[in-house]
Amino acid sequence: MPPEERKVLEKSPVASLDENLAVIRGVFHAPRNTGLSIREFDLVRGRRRIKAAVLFLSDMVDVTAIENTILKPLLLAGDSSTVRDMQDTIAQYVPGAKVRWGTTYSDIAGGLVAGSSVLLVDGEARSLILETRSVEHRAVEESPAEAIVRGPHIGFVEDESTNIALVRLNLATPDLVTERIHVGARSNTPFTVAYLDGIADHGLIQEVMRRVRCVKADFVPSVDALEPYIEDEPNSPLPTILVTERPDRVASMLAEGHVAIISPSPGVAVVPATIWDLMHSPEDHYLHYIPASAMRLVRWLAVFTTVYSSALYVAVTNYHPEMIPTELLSAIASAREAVPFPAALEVLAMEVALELIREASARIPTIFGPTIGIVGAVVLGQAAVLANIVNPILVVVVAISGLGAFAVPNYELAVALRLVKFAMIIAASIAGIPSLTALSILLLARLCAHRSFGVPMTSPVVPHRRHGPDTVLRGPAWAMEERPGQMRPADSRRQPGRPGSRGNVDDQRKGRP
Amino acid sequence: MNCGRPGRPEPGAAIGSAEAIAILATFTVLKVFLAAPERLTREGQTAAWAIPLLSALVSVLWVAPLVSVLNAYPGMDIIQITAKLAGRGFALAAGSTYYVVLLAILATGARQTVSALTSVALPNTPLYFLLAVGYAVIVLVPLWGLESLARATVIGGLYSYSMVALLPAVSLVSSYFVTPHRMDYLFPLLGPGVIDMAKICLVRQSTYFELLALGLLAPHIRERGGAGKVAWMSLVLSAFGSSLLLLALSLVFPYPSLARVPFPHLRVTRILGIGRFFQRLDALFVADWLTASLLGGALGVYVLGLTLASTFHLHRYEPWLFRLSGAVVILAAYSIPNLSMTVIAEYDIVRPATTVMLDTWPVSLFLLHRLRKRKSRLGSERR
Repeated sequence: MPPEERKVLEKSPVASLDENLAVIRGVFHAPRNTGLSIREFDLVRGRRRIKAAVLFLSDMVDVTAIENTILKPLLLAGDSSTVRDMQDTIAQYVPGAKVRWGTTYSDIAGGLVAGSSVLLVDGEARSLILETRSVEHRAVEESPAEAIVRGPHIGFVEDESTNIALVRLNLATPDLVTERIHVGARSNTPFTVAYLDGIADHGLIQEVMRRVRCVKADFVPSVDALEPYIEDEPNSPLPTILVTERPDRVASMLAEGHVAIISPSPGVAVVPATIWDLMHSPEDHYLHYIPASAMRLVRWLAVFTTVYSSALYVAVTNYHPEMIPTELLSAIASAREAVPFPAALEVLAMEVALELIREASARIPTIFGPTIGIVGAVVLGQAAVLANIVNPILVVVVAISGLGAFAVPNYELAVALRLVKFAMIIAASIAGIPSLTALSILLLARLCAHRSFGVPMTSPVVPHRRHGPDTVLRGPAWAMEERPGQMRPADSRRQPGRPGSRGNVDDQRKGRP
Repeated sequence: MNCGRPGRPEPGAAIGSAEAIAILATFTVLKVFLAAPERLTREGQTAAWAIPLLSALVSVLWVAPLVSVLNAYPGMDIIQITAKLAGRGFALAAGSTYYVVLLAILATGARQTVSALTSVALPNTPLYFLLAVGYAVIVLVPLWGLESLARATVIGGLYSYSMVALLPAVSLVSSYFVTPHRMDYLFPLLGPGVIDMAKICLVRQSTYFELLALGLLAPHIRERGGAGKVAWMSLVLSAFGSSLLLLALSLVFPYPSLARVPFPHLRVTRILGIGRFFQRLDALFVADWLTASLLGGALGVYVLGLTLASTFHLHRYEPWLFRLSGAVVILAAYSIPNLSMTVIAEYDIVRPATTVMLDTWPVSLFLLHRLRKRKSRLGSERR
């Protein structure tokens, strides 16, 4: 926006309707900009007729609502000689539920781009901004990225108000505070910072607000676009912010003391996020704690298979063949006999092919979906083996590695792990397990240096903080008496403690009535 | 512009007791993966496994004064305390000596690590190449700060310790099925005899020289007065860890062989196997002791940096890390001609010298502290 235009917006409207309309037309580039609609009419007050106008962006409003809540009451009111001023007129004749006064041109412009209608009256310097927004959006449905078997099948949509409502459905408490910040000089996107007052750490809330307010970008349409501006490690592929599409997950994390950033997009950011949070699935909450823990172990196994399986294949076949049984070794050797490439190149080629299939299946139209499966399975698997480009054992190893990445519950983490896998393969090809170990230590130390909004990514395990049994494994819900200590919650107790949280069970055991 | 706060090492970094214990225990115990078993067996014969335990008892004599002095001057490291109690000259001398000795121990350790790698896991790999790989780790990890180093050590140390426990466990289980394991190898229980064992343990308290790093790390421990807990726990963990591993090795090799086998723990892992699938576990254990060695190297370089900064009143240690790591690598590569000379340099020259240092430095500081306290009490009574 040019500086002179910005200066105009900071000014207050004057008492002349024509002058105000001229300014707003200028700001919105009307009449070139056909989006701005201005409906001028007269208000009758005794013998006097006062000029008034309703302004709105026609693509974003419910025209029927404008007719019913603004125009009809004011036009059909007849003689309004009893009213003293504009405020009285509005109070008596405009039935809109969500109205506010605007005192600057910036308020008017902000209201219009947000889908509100603005009522201007000649002789009145203030404007009345009425909520008439009506934008079509996707219906609330299950998030395809975080689908679960048990638990609510509901996900966020591309509408901020609906998203906030979905969180409120899970947290029906007046302590749920939502503060709105507009970000993006051009996109002017509304971001809502949500937290539970009395639980979330005050310092954390201030820090989140500071970071979101600090963003001075032109176009920030969603949380995903906001993320690079506010995260602690902007150059690291490892996510330090948890983005989820599930309201129940956001609600449960808010109840732990986290802070959420909601935007008009299906992804809601939850901060701070630890490495343990990234490995949790929303389904863990809806399963018995023993199977839930077992599934978490499977996910950790998936992480290790993703990162290490291909690299270990390279290391073992190149440098440490003595590790594996002689029969298996001779099977690998005979399978590799006809393959003209070194093991590392063979693995890298197969991994790149797998990435190609994955990327292609994400972009390909649904109707061609089965084709990619056939291409992947037949061409890259069977045909590559028959053509002696790769050996069949490697196909199994790469398949396991690829499968592991799909089992990681956080998409960004899975992408980061896939990148690490390539680094590991290269390291393994340099000096086998020793170089693999060296790289692992470097990555481990780097992970330990990561922070998410000041909270170490590996806490509450290291550094140790008081927490319930919900990190690597999941304990029973009744044992989670405390909120995670790394969140520094204002109220650290989540449940009243024994026998309160499961008093009835303990009482029955002890034979108490 | 990014509005976050990128994770840089913080000047006032603090670690918890558990992290400090992991650091010191890992730093101290890693030598059992190198030439220590061979040397201790040469001296203690069938009772080599008892040396770490008995030496730990002797070490109490200098660990207790160290803890007492560190607790008496919270927020100060051992070099600053020396400057306060004995003057700047003594602090400079003590700090410089500690620096030189630690540098020598790190260089000999690095040389043993790469020699073990080239002899056991990666034959024909150039020594310099492996040292260069190690250099990357021992520079970068300390550069990311004490907090990340400590956290990585807790996680890596957990892996190392589980392996330390696993090896004796597999060894003991295998002793029922695999012929080479024999309980007879542990007899006579007193090895060369009581008097000889006492002498050995007196000298080999230097096994715990690495615990002196607590003197530099104590100001960074979050819990007030946590130095005691950290010192005792690290001493116990490293004593039992070393002893357990030596016991497992002693069950496999008779002591005359064990005294001549370089890196016997890797030899043991070659004999052991899990079913028919993992025929030899040496590559798996290479990862284990390499984890301990690399983390130990990183810790050593960090402590070297702290020593340099404290001795010469430098504001920051970070810019020195590249040079210090470079010094370790160059010394390891060029100053020692071969592995046997490295072992001799460490166990016959450097470590015996550290025994003198351990027996004098903390105790002197403790006595000076008591004297000072008494003087001030008498002074106040006179007034």
